[in-house]
Amino acid sequence: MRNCYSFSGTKKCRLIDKDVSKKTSFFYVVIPKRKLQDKRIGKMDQKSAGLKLTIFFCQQIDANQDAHRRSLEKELGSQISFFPLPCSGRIEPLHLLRSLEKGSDKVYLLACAEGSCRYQEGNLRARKRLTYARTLIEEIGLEAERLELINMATGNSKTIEEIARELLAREADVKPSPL
Amino acid sequence: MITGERKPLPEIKEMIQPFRKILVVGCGSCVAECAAGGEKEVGVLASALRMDAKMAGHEKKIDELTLDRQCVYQFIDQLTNRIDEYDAVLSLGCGAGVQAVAEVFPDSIILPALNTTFIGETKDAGLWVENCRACGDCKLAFFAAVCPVTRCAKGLFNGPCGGSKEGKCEVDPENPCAWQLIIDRLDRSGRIDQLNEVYPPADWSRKQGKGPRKIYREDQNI
Repeated sequence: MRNCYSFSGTKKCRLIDKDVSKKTSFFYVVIPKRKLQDKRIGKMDQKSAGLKLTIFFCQQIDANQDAHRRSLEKELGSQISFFPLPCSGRIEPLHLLRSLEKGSDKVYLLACAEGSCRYQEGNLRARKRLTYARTLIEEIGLEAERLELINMATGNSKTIEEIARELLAREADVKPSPL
Repeated sequence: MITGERKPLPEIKEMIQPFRKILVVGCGSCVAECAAGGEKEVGVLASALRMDAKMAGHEKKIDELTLDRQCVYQFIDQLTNRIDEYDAVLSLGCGAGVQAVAEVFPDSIILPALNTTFIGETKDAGLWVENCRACGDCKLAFFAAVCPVTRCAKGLFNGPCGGSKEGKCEVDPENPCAWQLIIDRLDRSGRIDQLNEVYPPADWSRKQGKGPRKIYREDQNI
């Protein structure tokens, strides 16, 4: 019989023999990092949970996006990937699926506020395509929440770095990807 | 254009289940136009199948290739040096494409990933509508280029049936009445008298009853 309790990434177990007169012995099991993340994920922000984020975004959101995303890319390395688009309507379901296939835990698509797309309907198309991609990933058993569209507020003045930091600070709503 | 729709993923998964190495082959012609079997759709399906296999712990190799046309030998020939690497080919071509590939490679397993649906036109972005039954005896000249066999829900050669309301079909009020369209078009072009003719039944032997139809042209056989 085993009696276990865990603390800070380690599980302490005690073997208890039915014959209580025999000595009990302890041993330690290190919980794999992935499992530890799974257990705590509900209470952690996305950055601390180590989730890999991919952010597709409309370049109209931040005119100086090229400079603004660099520091975050250097800071977080492969934990974050940015893909600037001339318009969110350029997104294809294939881009979203490929991101998940390559190991992203969560993929965001940042679009302009509805009604303020520079190309009239780009963000409306983006919504339809993302919705379609969500049905595709649900078909294979991945959570639809792994793909999320965010329409920025009208007159948004935040830089892409500020927006991405806010996303990283969000509570993790998905576990690390099984892929 | 021939249209098709992708089969449900569970059906595709069941088909490919016994195979480890699979080549997903698309077609860059009709089924690409109807967003069912072109390069993008090949990528999406292959990606979904790879992720599915990985999550299920199955070891599968799923590659992609899109031919310009899957029903013409000169294009199918691109598979010649690759097809033996795979246990099965999952085709996103129409029924003609699937069979053409199977005929060129008799020892390979070719599986259909699409349900071929109809011959139609692109009516709007994301909307395809059937407008030809490929009957082999076209009567569009009599009917102002509106096919009553395909577009009339009752397939009436000598219509209208009298059941339409405000130009809409009584069977499906979302569809325009084909005979209303025929009459309007003939009237506009001053040919309404054509409807005084009673047309004999179409020669359906040109469509069915003799097995697969063939077209042969000596001048094209060079």
